[in-house]
Amino acid sequence: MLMRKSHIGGNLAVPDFLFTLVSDSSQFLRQTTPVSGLLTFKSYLMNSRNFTPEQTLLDRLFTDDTTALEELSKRYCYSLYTYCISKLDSKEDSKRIVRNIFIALWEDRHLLPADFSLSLHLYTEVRKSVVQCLNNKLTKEADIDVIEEKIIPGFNATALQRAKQPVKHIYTKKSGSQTSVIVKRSYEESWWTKYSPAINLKGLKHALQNMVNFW
Amino acid sequence: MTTEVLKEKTSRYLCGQSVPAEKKQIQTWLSTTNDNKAEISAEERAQIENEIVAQVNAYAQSSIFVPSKADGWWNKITAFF
Repeated sequence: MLMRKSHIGGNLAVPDFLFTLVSDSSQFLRQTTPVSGLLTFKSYLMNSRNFTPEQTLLDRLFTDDTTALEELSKRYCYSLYTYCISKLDSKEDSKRIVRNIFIALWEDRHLLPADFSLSLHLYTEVRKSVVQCLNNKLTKEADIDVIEEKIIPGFNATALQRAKQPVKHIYTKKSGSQTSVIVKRSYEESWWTKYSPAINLKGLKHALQNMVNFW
Repeated sequence: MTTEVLKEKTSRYLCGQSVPAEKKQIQTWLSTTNDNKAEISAEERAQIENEIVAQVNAYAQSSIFVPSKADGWWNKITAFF
């Protein structure tokens, strides 16, 4: 396993807004626009999402670039948070787990291997942290009621069967006062239901015509 | 399943001493998804994101903070004049 070597001569404490100005040239050009510079700077502070490749951000972590850590945490923190809260049903624990994952990543930034995969790392860390948190909560009497009511039913055989089924993305669409639930099917399922009507010549001819029109 | 049984299972899982059936049960539980997700407004989501990112950023900034060297007594005297 290849390990990166630290080549940093010293730590430079520079205000964060200077890093944000210099690190990304496109952001820098946007912020120097006199008319809307202030608004873009504020929006950048609120919800900065650039399209920097992940490997570039990991390389910047190695050079003590906190903006890279900030960008990585902005990309993944909410998805990790929703996963934790779906398992533990606790906002504070979920926030703490996500925060600790990124802090640990920052602390080990000089020890990341060359073939480091952030998604795999986050996947394993969040799962391990959820189990650790659950194990800690089981020792506290105040949390046992919540665990018995909301978490233990998830270990039933019927609940665990859902893990073997394909993931269905369910979206809610609001049209006026009505909300309709749309289940997004996989590409194969939608293709099959569209092009496999009842088996008869008329249906087959209709399906072939649809396919020709589609292509 | 009771809380005591679950605690023993999770303890063994964390130590790496669980039997394959327990390991599979816990890993399957970790892999189950929740289809009925509660809708969260964009403002609340932004608030949660900003809170977590701010805490992480504060820790990172504090870890690389180096206090400036204190000026010598002669610098203080010349600054006074």
